[in-house]
Amino acid sequence: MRYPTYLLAGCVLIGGCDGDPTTAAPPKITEASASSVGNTGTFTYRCISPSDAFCSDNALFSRSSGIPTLAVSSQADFFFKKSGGTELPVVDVVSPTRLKLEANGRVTALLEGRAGILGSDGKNPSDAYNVRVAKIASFHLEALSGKFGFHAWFTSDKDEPLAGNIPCKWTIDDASVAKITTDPASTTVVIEFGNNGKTVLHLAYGTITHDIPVEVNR
Amino acid sequence: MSPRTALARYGAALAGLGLAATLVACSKSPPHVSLWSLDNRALCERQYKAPVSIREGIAEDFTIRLANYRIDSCSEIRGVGNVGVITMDLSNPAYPRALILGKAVGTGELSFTCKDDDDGTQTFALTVNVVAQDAIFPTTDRCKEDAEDKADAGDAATDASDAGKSDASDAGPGDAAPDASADGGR
Repeated sequence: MRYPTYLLAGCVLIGGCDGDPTTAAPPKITEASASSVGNTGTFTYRCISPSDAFCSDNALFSRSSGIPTLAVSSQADFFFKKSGGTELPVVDVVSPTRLKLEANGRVTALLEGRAGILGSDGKNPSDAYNVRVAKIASFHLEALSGKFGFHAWFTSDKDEPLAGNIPCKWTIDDASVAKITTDPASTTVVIEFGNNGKTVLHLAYGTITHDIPVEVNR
Repeated sequence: MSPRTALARYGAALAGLGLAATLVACSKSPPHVSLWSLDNRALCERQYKAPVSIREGIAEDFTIRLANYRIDSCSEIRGVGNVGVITMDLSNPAYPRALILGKAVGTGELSFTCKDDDDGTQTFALTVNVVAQDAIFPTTDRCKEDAEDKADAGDAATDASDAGKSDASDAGPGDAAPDASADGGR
């Protein structure tokens, strides 16, 4: 899908296209919870950053369905609170080939399917939750409002929106025409315009790539 | 008595002794471990046949029953085998839980011990068959499969409601998403 250049010109004309998503209002949703396998407590999923589509404001996810499906390669934080106990980070995973518990406590999804995380009662692993993980089959772009940029979100081959901090890579060919002002690894990109001219904005996730032509006419 | 009759009676006596020996051996065999699905999520209560099949990478919760053995006399028991880990929560004697983790595909034995009132230690063994996530359970585990089917059906219903909400949000005013979201990068 190629973007019509008039969209970019219009954005320049109305101004305010150089905003920073980090200054936007904080997302309303930052977590989701679900009962543990043994019903002894609750596991909570938390977005690492607003870049996680689950915590964006685009309402892709059903908030009542609990912990969302993670994308392969994405990261998230998980916690367990035993009933009447204290919330603690997850302490282990069932299968390290499916999920990786990073040194900083974050969980990285490695393989599609279901994968167990283990919560502790403070002494020992005491209960579990089986996280769903799916491969990214396609991505979608949503234009930001009030600034020029996009938020990328991802879906599985069943068109299920996928959560997790997904490592994207945004690049632009000619920074004199347009410059990326946000973290190029974020799912959200904001562009600041420079000289008149044409360039191409690229989004890459693994083998998935997408090119967005950019033309600046001030 | 003919030699053949004597031999037959001797054989019968040997057989009787063998039967008695077998009965004694049975009475001294380790208590039988059985796993039951017994909660609101499983939608059925049924004993799982050995070996219990679980999927790789998944944690499953069971109620454990030890025939001829008082489980409430056990302190914490935990066992590890080559295909998984079994952790038990005995804090509620009416609902002793066994959380079984299928770590790697294969069949193995999870063994665990329980210390009884007389400070004796009893060892239990549970054979677990860890199958791939896309494997079909044998018919003996039909109950579990039923429960999973129900769970998947619930997920599908959730998916359907998600789809409806996504459509609605994509159609927001002044939003380039409808153009941008068409088959990007598939």
